[in-house]
Amino acid sequence: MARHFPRQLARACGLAVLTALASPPAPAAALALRQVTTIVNIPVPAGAFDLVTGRAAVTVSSGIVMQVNATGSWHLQVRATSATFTYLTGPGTGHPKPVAELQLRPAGGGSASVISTSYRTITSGSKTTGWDDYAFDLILQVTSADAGGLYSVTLEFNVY
Amino acid sequence: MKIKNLFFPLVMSALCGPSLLPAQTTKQVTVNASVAEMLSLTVDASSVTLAFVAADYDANTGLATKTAAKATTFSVSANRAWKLTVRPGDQYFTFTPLGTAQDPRKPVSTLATRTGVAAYAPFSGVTDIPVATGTGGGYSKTGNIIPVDYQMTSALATDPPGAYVLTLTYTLAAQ
Repeated sequence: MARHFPRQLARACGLAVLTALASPPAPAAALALRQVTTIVNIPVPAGAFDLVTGRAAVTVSSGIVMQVNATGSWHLQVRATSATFTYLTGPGTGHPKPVAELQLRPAGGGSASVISTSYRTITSGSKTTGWDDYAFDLILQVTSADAGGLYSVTLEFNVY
Repeated sequence: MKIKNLFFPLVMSALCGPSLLPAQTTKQVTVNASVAEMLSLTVDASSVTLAFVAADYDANTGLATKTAAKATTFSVSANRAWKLTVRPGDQYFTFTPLGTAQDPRKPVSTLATRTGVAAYAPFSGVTDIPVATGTGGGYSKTGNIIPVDYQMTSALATDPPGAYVLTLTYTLAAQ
């Protein structure tokens, strides 16, 4: 009996392999996230500033598009990987512009979510019909404390 | 024995193949904001007139001083530290006589300016005079609305009747 065990194991393994090879591919993941947008640029021209308040609010419509593929209900959340923008280049010295001055909302309307370093749900849904697009508007608040230059921050999207 | 060694990796491969890996559910997007440098200067009046009349002159000295308080008000909106300066367009006023008087070449030093309650600073040739400085902010920020006073002196002995004109250029610059 003991001498036959290795052969039985080998036979069983072979059966397992054949089963794996013969069966249809394992079902697709129940929930997956894909990105259409990797970089989004928000231009803030001088003319965007309110001369009285020294503030500007710039909206980039459908600036970020993500795709969700789900077989059940899901939630999409977003957070920033840092609490402030990084001041990359510019004539000024820059300052730690908080990411809270950036908001996301479902394209075309809906309530805007203030970005922070904690995940915040920005949309949710149920079973998709394949890879469904979800577009988001970006709303950036700029103050006169924001010296001219290039600011950058990384947003992390997570679906669950 | 060789068969066993062959099948085991295959089995493991089948069990650990990519189709059983969890789907990736996190993605990153880089957001860049390109903020323009903003320096805006507006003024409520582009000309100031100081009208001297005979009664303005001191009968003994023949001198007169005329003041135009808050004759021009400048408004600054900027997203960085700024400075406002003013410079005459020439060393002398241009002169258009009433009659046939010759140009007395009235120097710009007979005109002085100030903001707030500071002492009047006379112009001196074609050189900049600092008017105000500030940091980022709109008109609503204290210090970004700048009323400017002008004071001019005239002397009967040197200033024949006529129109004296001087162009002042105000410049807002980053500092």
